[in-house]
Amino acid sequence: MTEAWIQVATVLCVAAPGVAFALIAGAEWMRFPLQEREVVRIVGVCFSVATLAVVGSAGWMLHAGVTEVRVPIGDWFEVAHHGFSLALVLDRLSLPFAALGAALVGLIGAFSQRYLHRERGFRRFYLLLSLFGLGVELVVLAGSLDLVFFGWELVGLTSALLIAFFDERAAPVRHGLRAFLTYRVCDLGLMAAVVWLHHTVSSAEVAPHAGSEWAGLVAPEGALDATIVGALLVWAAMGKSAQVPLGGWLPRAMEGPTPSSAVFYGALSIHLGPYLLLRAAPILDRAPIVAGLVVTIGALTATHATFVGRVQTDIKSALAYASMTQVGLIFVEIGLGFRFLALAHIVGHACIRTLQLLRAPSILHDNRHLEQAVGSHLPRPGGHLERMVPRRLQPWLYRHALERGYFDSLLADGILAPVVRLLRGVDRVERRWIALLEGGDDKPADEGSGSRVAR
Amino acid sequence: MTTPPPRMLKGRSAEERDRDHLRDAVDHARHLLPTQAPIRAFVHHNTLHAFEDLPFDEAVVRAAELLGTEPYEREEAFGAHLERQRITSSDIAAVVAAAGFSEAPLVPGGPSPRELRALRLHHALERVEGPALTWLLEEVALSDFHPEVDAPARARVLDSARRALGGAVDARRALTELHARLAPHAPALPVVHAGTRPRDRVLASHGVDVDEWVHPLMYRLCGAFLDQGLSYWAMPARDAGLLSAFRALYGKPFGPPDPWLRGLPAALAEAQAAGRDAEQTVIASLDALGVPHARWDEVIEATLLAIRGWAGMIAQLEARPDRAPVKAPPCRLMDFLAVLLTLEAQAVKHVLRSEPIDAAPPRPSAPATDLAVVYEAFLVAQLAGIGPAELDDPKDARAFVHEVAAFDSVSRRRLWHRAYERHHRQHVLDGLLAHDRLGVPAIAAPRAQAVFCIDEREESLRRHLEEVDPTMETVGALGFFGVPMAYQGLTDVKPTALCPMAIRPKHLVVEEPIEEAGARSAAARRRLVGKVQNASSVGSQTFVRGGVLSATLGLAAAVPLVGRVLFPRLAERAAHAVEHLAVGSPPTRLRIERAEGDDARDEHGLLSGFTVFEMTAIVRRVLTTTAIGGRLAPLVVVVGHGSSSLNNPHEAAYDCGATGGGRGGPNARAFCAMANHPGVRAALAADGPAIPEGTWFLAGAHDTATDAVDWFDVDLVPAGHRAELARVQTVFGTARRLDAHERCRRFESAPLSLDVDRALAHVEGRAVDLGQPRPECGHATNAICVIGRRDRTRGLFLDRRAFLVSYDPSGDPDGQVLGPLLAAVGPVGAGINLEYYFSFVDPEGYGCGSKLPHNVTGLVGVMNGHASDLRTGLPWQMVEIHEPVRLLTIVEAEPELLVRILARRPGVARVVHNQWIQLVAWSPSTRKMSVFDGTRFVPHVRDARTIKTVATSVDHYRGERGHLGCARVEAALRTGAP
Amino acid sequence: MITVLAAAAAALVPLVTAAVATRSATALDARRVGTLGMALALSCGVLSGATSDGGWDAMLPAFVAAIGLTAVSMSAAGNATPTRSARILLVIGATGALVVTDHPVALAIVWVASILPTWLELRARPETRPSARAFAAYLTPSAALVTLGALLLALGASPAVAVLPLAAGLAIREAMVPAHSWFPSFVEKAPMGLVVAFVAPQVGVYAHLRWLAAGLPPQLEDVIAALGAITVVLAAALGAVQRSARRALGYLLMSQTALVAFGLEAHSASGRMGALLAWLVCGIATAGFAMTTAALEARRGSLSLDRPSGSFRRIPSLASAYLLLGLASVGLPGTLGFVAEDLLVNGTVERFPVLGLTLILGTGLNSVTIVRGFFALFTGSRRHAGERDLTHRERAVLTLLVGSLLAAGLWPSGPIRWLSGVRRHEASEEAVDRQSSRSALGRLEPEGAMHGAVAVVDGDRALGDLFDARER
Repeated sequence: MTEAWIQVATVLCVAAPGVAFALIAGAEWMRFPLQEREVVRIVGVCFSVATLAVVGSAGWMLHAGVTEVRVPIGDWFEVAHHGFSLALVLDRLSLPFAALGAALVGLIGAFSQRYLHRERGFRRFYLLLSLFGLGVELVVLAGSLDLVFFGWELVGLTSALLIAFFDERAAPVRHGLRAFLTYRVCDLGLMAAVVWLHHTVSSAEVAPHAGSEWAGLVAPEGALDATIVGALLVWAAMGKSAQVPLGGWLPRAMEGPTPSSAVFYGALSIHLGPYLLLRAAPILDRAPIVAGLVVTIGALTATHATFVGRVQTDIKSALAYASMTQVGLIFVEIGLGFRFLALAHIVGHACIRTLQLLRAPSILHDNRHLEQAVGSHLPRPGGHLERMVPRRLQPWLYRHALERGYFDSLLADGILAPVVRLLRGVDRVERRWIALLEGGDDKPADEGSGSRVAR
Repeated sequence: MTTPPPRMLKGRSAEERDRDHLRDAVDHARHLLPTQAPIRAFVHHNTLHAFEDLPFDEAVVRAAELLGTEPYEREEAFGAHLERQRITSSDIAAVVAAAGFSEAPLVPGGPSPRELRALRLHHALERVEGPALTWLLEEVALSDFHPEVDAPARARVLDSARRALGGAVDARRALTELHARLAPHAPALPVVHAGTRPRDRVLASHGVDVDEWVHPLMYRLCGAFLDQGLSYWAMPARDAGLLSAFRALYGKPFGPPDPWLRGLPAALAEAQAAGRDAEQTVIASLDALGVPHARWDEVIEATLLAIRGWAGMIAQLEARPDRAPVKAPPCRLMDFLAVLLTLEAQAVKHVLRSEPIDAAPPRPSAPATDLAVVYEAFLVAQLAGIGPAELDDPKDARAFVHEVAAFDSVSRRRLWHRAYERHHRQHVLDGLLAHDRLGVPAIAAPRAQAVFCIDEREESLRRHLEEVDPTMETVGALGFFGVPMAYQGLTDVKPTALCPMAIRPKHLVVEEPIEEAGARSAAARRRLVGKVQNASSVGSQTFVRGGVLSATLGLAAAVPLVGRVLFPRLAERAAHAVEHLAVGSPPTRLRIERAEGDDARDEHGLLSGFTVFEMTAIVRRVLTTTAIGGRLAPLVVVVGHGSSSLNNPHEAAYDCGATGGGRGGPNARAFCAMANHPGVRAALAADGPAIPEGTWFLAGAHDTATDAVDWFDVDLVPAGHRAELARVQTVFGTARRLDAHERCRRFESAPLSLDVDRALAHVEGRAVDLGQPRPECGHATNAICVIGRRDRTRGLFLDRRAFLVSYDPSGDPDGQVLGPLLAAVGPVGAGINLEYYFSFVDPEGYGCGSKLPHNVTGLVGVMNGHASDLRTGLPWQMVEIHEPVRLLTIVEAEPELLVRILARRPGVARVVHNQWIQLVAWSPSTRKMSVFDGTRFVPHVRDARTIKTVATSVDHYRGERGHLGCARVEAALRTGAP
Repeated sequence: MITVLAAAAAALVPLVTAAVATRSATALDARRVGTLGMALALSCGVLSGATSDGGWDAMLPAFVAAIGLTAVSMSAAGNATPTRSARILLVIGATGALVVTDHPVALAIVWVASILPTWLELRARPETRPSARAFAAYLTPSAALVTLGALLLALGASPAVAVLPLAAGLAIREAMVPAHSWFPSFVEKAPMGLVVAFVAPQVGVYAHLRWLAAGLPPQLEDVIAALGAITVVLAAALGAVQRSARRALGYLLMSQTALVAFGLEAHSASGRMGALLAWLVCGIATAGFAMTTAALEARRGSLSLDRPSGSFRRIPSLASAYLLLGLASVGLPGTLGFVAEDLLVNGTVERFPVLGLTLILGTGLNSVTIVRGFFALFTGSRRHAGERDLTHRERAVLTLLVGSLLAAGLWPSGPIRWLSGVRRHEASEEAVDRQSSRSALGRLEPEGAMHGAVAVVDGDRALGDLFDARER
């Protein structure tokens, strides 16, 4: 009986956000304008239910001494030997994440009722927020990597659309697209990992793992396969968690409304990368190279972000780089095998950063308050950095930090631009060829000619 | 690329001439830049201050062209005003008649130009152009009449089509024919001018916007340069100015790998080697960009306006470094321009050099003729009920289309705006006159008097006070109460000016603890708490400390997180209680008196306090201007105001405009200390107006966000006044609840059913809520200014819309009091009103848009999102309920006197003559009103003679959300006098 | 019986409607007639599918009719003529006939019949006349090769010989690299309704299943798979860097088509089911997506992706439909596309490990194209020239498309069972004559008897049996 109850509760964690999304989306498409209050009530009720379900389950599991609840829902679809199994896993890893996810999305829902009151995109915000909540719950509770991918995609899409929330300005849209591009490029890693796992161990399930604190992915037998899958997963995690050198989108993601920035880039979305790596613990165990890679990337990111963050003069970028620093540290912890520490770090960091991001618009108020308390202008904290770095090096280092380590330019001008140029060259050849077929009497609309004419 | 300019050959004097020219050009551009101070010292001012020399209608259009903004509200906004009868037929008729158009029929059987305009102004038609228009015609518009066309007009069009075509015609045939008659007469589209900057040329030829490269770098540089303490590591070498710092950083090799920046280090090193100063750098860059000498002015103007937020901030801090929150680096607009143009030259050079594979130029796709106007004429013809028959003659059709085209969007909106203002004006003036005609009993002998700031947000509190206690007299004076001081509170880090912007204070007033020892230990505790808070907030953003903090104590943040989000008021109270417990707040006094002849100045050049002579002058001026001097009540409370809120970078914009964006409490306190000063009283007793022995002044501070009222120096109140004080405090307690209640009706998130106590809790909650972008409505309701006796407005519900300035014309026959009063009140009121006007009509162009994506940068301003130009003006959340009318200023004075005063005071005359405010003279003798129309006073013609009468204000506003008209409130009129 | 009649009606109704439409006075009237006709055809198609026993081809008449309905009803009236509506209906009618035909010669005839009206329409307007030349330059050989192959089959030549010209003909029409160049330019320039009617049903897939499934030599299969994978990635990459929304759409369609062709060569049930689903999803979703693009184009003129130009505020439904349908076609979680992609990738990686992974790259790039298009076309600027949001007619059609994709995406096992022909095979266990139990629609190969020996036990195996016997 208890078993059934706990299984229902687990399903509710996923179902409730889904219901919220479906209700709002349906009403929108049918052009039935829900009142702000109604929208908030829907989201509030659904995420409260989800939160209660997780917390209740946690209480029961503590009480009964159970460390893992597995809810097989059955195959979503199955063809021949390939099935997409729907299973949810509630264990010591997913529990804090699921609780954090449901509670924070619910809190942000309550917060945004006031924050986004009378904003044109009010319903769109809640629509995307509940879809994001659904994505997060799916990722963290997923019993297989296939299902992780399902949620992972939703998180990426909602993230990009919320960055572009203020849709009438060009910059948010550009940055939303940039984030989406990064996500997609890195999602290839996840999808490839899923396929490779199916290919090698014919299962991408999250299974109990001997000697580990929680269930994990089944590691392929061969070290090479494990390394490949591990590297792919790390690649996927790097994008979502804004690790060096792909993290340039993170400060730019602060274009969205503050509450969504807080919940995405302070708390949930940014920590999904580490979550994935924690789930992949068996693979990291089998592929020490990958573990080393995780440590290296994390350390590089933390160093880079802490330097860059120190010169940021706007509150949101400063907080974005602070987040990046901590996530880099969390990567290091995971790579070194301190998994419970990483988990605690994630939860603590999520709480602190969310609060700080929500307080970001009050920085002037807080700053004045602090000044009054301290009784002077706030001391500049950078003094010891200036003492430590040799004077001659300072301009170099400062410029490096101000330009964010030049990563954006290196990626955009060094990699993306040549590829785009090449492809456009190919396309031009295509056009010429068709223009030839179409006959010389008609002027082909060659895209390059315009500029040359203008010269 | 360019031939060497001739001046190179002319030697030194030519260079000097160039420099002069350049300085002129920069100074010309400088005055067009936003004049907003660092955001902590936000003061309202006319957004188009630079255009005040022009008449309003001309200025807004000129500015719109120059800045790419909107001169008036958008057409769809006027459409909404029409729909909800905010603009009525009679308003339209009146403004069209006043504008004087021909009344001869335009086409046979058709309307006259005047009728056509009136008709057009009844319908806000959407402009549809290009393919959208083609689509619309093909799918919808040629098949059926426009929905706004009424039945008689439809019948007339069909009938006309029948006459023109013969036989039976259906709507589609008639409309198709009608459109076909009009289509050949499409007017030519106005030529769109390409910009003058090199960047515009490159954009047109290569499709690359170099601003997208240059500006983000400028944002970073300026942010780092101006930062007042947000970043951890300050920009090296910034003490030498922006240009030097830029050269020091970017002149080093191995710089950013962006292709367009490759030549930068070399260029900067060369400039450094040649020892070029900022002006020479600008000139060299202009040469490199190929800008001819003759176009320097326009190019510099356009270049600076393209990044006007940061440029304006640099210019502001150059002029007023004292207004920086901490310490301004040496700002020079010329430095800024030098950096900007250096970068632009690099970018343009790069674009011109590289093969433009990656960009197609925007193709000029605009058709030569304006078919959208034809469509508009087509709709107007339907609305006017003219069909193909009337337009049979191509000459007529042509005339018709061109007449429609002539009444373009700006002309329409100008008239709509006048109609919109007229509607408001008529209601207010009629209300005032009707209220006055019914009579307002005077207060025989007020038991207490309350002096407030003229701020329109105090109107409701004053009204409620008078309703609760009809024997109390309220008075409106500028909220710095005549005390032009720099003030340093007990916990303030440095003195701030608390007086109107136009005045630079010379006197410093310091708040001191009464008891040194206790205060010192409290300060030490406070400092400890502050240091811990500061360390944790800085630490959490760093590497090691942040890691340790978040991994160990991070979860503890969940408590304030949940509290702040779900229970903001409770959380704030708890935090406050904890702090109070830990620190306490010691009693204080102001150090205000300076001995006669003590001329010692501190490091800011300030004198310490005021001499008795100076104090006497201040007190006398206030008592005379407000005319309460002769009849002071036993207890006079003087209440300054301010506003406190969280989640609000624009917090200062909610404070008192008359104190230059500060809080007026200290001014009230200082004024009362002066008025209670025996020396001052003695001096006044000699020269008048004397303060009776039994009169006591008590200062208070009103928080317009939370509706809290705090009292200062209560312990000094003489025993004889204690009972009266208790009574007055009770009255205030009731009135502020009612005030909160009245304010809540404007907040959609507050249910209309709130009672007074829950209303107070609601406004308190708003102010401390991290998620609340609208802590209060600010000045959003301002529209009116009444300068005159309170007896004219007492008991009149003015919906928190009126600045109320106390002034008694009876003792001022030749305007000796009124002149200075107008000069002081005019700029403050007009500044507030016009800033709201512009931020409302173009929230993105003049205002700073929605505050939701705002990102505080360097503690000096806000950007949109991750990086953008500094946003100036007011956020949309602050202005959204505003009605954009020019301040309707009603002065209780004879028109002739006003004309004489205007002739004496050019500052006020400029604003009045150019119609930046609407001026109305309310004759004390005839009790008639006349409206200034730009050249003379024209008698006001009344529309309505009655006024709604209610028992209390609550009866009038209960259940209403929107702006309310005037009403006569009986409760405030029971003064006991006949 | 009903099944057969309804399927025939689904093919005939468009032809009749075309005849009526040519007599309409205006483009608006022609569209109204066409919409009603296609709605009727769709009902017939659904009826036919519902009364059949399932199987991969059971829903094809409804599938084609749904695409036809989208193409006809969402065409803008702008510079359209009744003739154009009629030609679109003709193409749909021919396609509808094609998917219920299995005789090679009949197939070849309707194959050519679906090309002709398209070419005529291109010829009809001066601005597309050059395109007609390029179109003819590619599709004439395609038609000739297909006819040749069909004749060879009909004359009883060995399948191994006949498939070569057939495969070549199909590859051209399906725009496989290197025979693809006509395609993006055709999508860019031809009227969108015609593009959708001609392209979205992907008749090549049908012909592939009918003719090639059994007869391809393994080497050729590898070649087709490799070409498919190359096309997927190349087209997706080219689509992602386009400046014109129309041309980007062309590459997107090309990439999606190749995805299906690639999946068909994977010798696993899940790969083939994925390809089958992808076929249906891409057909429906890209038809809706393309017509949404056309609806925007009619309101705004040529669509450039260079500068953000949008007004999401004024046309939210149009924008949402664009994003939803676009992402559904590339595997948005929650739509049938996600299922199709999952099956396709997992099913092909077994046989083509590297090529299978390239599919992931292709769909990833395609989703970038779509989101980029969404951002460029609907957001990023306050500009608004008076465009109107979806009309009731457009909204109804798009609701139908989106609704079916979402419903099937959330409950995919239903459609999968249906397509596997489970019901048919359950019935056939008791049937004496297996051949007759497969409806007239269901004959698979010219030599359908080839599989007579295969015992049908469960859905999965039945599916495998539909395509290829060699695997076992």
